[in-house]
Amino acid sequence: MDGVTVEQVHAAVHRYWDALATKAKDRLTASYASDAIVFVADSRRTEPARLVVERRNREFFNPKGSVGAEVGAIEVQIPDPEVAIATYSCHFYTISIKQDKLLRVDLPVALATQIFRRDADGALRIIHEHLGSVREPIMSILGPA
Amino acid sequence: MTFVIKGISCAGDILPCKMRSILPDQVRTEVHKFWKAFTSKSKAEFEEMYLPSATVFSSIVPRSESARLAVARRVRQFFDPKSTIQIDVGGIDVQLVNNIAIATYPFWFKGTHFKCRDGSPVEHQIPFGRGTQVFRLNDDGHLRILHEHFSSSETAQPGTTVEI
Repeated sequence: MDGVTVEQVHAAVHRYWDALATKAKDRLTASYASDAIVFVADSRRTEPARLVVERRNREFFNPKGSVGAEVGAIEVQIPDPEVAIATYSCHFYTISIKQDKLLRVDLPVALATQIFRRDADGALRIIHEHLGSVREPIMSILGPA
Repeated sequence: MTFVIKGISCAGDILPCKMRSILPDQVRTEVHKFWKAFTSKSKAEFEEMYLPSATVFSSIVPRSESARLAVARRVRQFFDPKSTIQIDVGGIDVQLVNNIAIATYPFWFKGTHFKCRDGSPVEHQIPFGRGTQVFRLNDDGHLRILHEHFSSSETAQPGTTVEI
């Protein structure tokens, strides 16, 4: 099997965000390896990716919720033919229902590290994800839920 | 299994390094070595932890830096003779893929008598820090950091910073 290329990593990052933006739970699940772990922006510890997917599905993948990001330039390191590290900044936002209100949370400068592994089926999947915020989140109530 | 022995000595054995596999405890040892170099303000040991091509995401800089620049910045900000550094590293998870190891852990960090980028003094408090360090096993048998991402799950308190 050929080694991972920069273009494949760029495509995998964009597929991941597209799965989130289109609320495609199956495609989001398929973005992660079965043993993937994630530091979400406000968590103190890592969590298994499957739990993160379930939570995103519950909070954002409903008619009123949403999640997305404007992704900046993606830097890619390929330290092994089967491994790639993607790093980029993005404007990350979520809309969810909190206490009967529609709440928007913006992370204007979020930093993402996503480490991909080429699995046995040839697909690039995230094995580790670290999302952090450089600035304080901006919260705004959009109206009643 | 037959190994081709080239007579290269790596960390006390003579197996060619490319055939060595990484053990999770080796990675944990490197993480602790990293923080020991940091708290003891040992510039040489600190620099040695990184590959020349390594990149760093620190907790408040909105772009990746080369490790070389990040080390220079940290030395300038944190390694003043008067500064104090306290660190507590939580449980370290290790993921392994071939000659790559990913260490992830929570940490608590406190420092005094540090300098801001503008040279003014500032306290550092990171009660809920999160660290990801990606190591690669070099041909010489040493684990070196290839990418590092530190962040804080909480924003800074007034008069302090979470920059690291």
